Amino acid sequence: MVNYLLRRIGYALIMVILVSFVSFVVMELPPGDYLTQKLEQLRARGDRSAENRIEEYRVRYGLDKPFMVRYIGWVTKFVKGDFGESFEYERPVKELLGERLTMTVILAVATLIVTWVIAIPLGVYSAVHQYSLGDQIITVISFIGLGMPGFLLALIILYIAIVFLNKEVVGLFSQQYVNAPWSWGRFVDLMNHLWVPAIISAVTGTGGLVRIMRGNLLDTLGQPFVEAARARGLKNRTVVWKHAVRVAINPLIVILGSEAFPSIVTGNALVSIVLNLPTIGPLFVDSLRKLDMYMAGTCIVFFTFMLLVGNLFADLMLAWVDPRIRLD
Amino acid sequence: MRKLAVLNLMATVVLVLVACKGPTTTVAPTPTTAPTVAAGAIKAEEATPTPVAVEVSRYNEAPMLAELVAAGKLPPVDERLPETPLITAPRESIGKYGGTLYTASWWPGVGNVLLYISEPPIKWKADLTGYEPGLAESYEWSSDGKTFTLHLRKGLKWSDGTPYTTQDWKFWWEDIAKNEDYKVVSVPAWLRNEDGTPIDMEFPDEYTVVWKSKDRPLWIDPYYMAQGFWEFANPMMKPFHYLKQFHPKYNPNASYEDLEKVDKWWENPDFPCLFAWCCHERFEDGSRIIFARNPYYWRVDTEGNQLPYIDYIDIEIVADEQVRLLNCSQGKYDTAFRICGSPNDIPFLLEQASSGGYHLMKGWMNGAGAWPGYMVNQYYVEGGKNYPDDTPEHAAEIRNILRDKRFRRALSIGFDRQRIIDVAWNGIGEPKAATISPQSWHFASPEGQEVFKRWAESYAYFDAEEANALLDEIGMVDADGDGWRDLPSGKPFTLIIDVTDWGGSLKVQTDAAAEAEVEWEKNLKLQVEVNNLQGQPDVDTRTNEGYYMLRAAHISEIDIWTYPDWIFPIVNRYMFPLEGRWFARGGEQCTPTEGQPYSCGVRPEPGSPAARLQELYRKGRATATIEDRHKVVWEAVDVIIEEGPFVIGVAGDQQMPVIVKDYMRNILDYGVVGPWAPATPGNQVPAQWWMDK
Repeated sequence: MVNYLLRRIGYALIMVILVSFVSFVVMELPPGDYLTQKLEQLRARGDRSAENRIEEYRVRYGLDKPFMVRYIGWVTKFVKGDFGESFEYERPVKELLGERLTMTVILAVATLIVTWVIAIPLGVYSAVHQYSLGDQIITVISFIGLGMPGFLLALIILYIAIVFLNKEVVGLFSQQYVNAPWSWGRFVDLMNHLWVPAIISAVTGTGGLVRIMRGNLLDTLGQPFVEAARARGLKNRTVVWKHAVRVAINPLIVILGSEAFPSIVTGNALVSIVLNLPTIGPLFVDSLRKLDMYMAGTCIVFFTFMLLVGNLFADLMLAWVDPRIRLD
Repeated sequence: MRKLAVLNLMATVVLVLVACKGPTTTVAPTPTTAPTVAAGAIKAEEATPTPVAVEVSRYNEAPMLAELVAAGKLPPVDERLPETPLITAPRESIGKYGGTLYTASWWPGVGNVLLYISEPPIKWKADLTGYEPGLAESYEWSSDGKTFTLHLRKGLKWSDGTPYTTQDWKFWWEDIAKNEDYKVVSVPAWLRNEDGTPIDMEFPDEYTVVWKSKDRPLWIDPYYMAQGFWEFANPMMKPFHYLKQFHPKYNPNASYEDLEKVDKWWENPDFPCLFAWCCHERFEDGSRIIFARNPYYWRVDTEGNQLPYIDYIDIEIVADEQVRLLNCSQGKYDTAFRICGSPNDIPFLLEQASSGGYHLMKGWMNGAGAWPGYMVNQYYVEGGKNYPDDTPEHAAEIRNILRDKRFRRALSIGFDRQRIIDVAWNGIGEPKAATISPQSWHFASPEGQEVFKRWAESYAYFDAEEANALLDEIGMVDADGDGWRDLPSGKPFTLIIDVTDWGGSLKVQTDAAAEAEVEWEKNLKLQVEVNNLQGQPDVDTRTNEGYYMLRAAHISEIDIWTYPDWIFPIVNRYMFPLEGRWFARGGEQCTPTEGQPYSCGVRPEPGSPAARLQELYRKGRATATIEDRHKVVWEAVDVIIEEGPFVIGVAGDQQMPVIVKDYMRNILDYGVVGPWAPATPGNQVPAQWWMDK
């Protein structure tokens, strides 16, 4: 077991290094860099001195140095906990991510709980009552959820809330509570805003999970060991929840590790952009677009890390849930 | 807290000083005498709060400051104001103090708001017809123009009460701008001699700054200070007394990195500033910045009330354009300049206006001379990989076509502008040839209007027959019988249009380009390809290296002398990228880089449009008066009409969605938001805006 863990962690480290290298290479591929874009922005608005300054910025950010020098420099600092400076914000990446981490984690964990609490019972219900009216309704809704991108749903909800209901829903707080210390009013205000991301993640996030749960459970319910359990005269509830679901839930655990875990750091970037939520996702998307290398690189390293940790966690969970699986 | 502590200390010092002087005349906070200038006399068209000479015996201040004075934390208003405060006639009415102005920005630097917080020594007039003194009291040139003198206001103070003097200027010039170790700020191009060295700057006394160039007149250069926050506020506003503690020259323990961290007036609450509002608080996650009134601000209204009227400006950062638009429609922002979408969103905003409690300012235009317009590359070279056979010979043939004015005229009269406007703009805007802003001060006079009209109308009609005749004349016929016109040599030809979201809306640009493609293909039998380069980092390289054929642009500019690129090819960009590079790199003095054939640009052939326009630029720079310089612009326009068009304009002068809440007062309903250089609405003194609620 310990051996197994050590080996997995070793692989994970190698993986993180490889991924960070590849992400740097990819950002290096398009012609130009952050500063060629910035220069043109400055010149377009009429800054006549931009050209003089831009070369100096190039030296400051080390963009004049060869690729490997920059990469190795960044990695050495990264190990010491210095993730470099964001070009766009002209501030350390660590600060920027740190400020947004709490909100990102809160939102992601809340989303996770909401989706799973809704998805698993619905999936089980629709498998057990296959082709019933309830199953049909759940199926339709989950296909809509699967097919609709979250950011589009966010825009539609915002439009309805603002234009028809005249409610202020963008962001997490209204104007008067942004600066205020915590109070009951502020909490209510937060709840008044939080339902939008909650609905969006419930609709878009549960769809897929419901379908997977349903499909797997249907497979499982037809298997001989379920028949055997029924033949032994167990209650239907026990057969479904204790015997069938425990086996059918395996793929969901894999998803928990590979999708849900990394999302704790990113959140849903597009939805966050639309709802103006101060999470890490929008920062990451923006840094990729602007070739803000250290910011993007740091985000990618953390996502990879979370993904690998998630996978490891999922494997351990599987071994615990499903006695047929052995780790070695 | 730190700021308060400083103020406290200041107040104590002042009190002690006052006490030493013995009995002083204190100013009672009683109502002032009636103003000698009636605010109602200012006509809406003039709207320029030009300084009015008026005898004001005492001043009023905002309640929030009066409290501080009463508590002994701030010196009285008479001591805070300069010897001669700038008396500003409010546009409509004397205001009431108070309120927080809520607005938004899409980037952490909140530049669209800094445009109206910054107030440079020389500023644009409210109606954009010229410049006037702002922070500075006055300025003048020597008769040869090589010496420029700026007079600061006596007794003007930073927002922490320290006097603003030439010491701050000297610190900026010697220790910041000319200091090669400090990379963030350098000597701007407009403070350099012809040979590239910095000009001389002298400081004969506390309130006089003298610029001296050894080899060229400085007629235009002081006006650069009026162009947006990136010319004066960011690089030149350097409080010596505050920054010296972070400057290695004055504090051996400090480093330039420390200096750089604090040298951001717009997000550092400790940084003293000179404007009506200074940075008060910045949220750590980069989601909000709040500015608060400067107790030492130097403008008063005609009744002696110290400006600004509004206490705070609260800016939230909202990156997504659609979300900002929804917020605008909900009336979340008190003023919204440059944040509420594009002209196509006006109907939606109007629909929501009454429930949102705001209205649209109808006099605010984009100032677009072309939106869109298609720049035609005047020195097309190989290297852009626009087709498989990317050789110098092939490129030379295309270059000759693009340089042929008959080809460009065929494009210009070969499409129906109104159709493109209907498709891309829902009918908003005027069909016209590409110009600079219709509101430009160069064309404000009746004679100038005449010139502008000629320019806007040149080759802006639709006549497919004439266009086809022009193309036949250059020998672009269908040689291989595939239905498309080919190059004169018989090689097939595809005209490529590079498109980005230039001007602010990608949809408008792609819709317009798609329609132009349809029109040109149908009317002229020219094969056209639209190349959407939005978000591609090489899009500007393609332009600046001369690899593009046509590029969709947005043109708007008020003062061509401080932003010459749209008329004069003097820098490496736009329609004359390589000929402009030649000028910018010093022409013959440039040494080419090995292996890069166009690293010094291309010398314009004598008599060519680029050569003539560069000559006119030199002439304009040496011309002493504003009127005569306008005439040089008109000469250049004549060259463009005669040899052009160089940009195939489609539409222009669209109205912009600028909205303000119904209770906002004193905001002039005239301006442009397309060009950033005039710093609108900063040109109309936002310190006199107020909230009637």
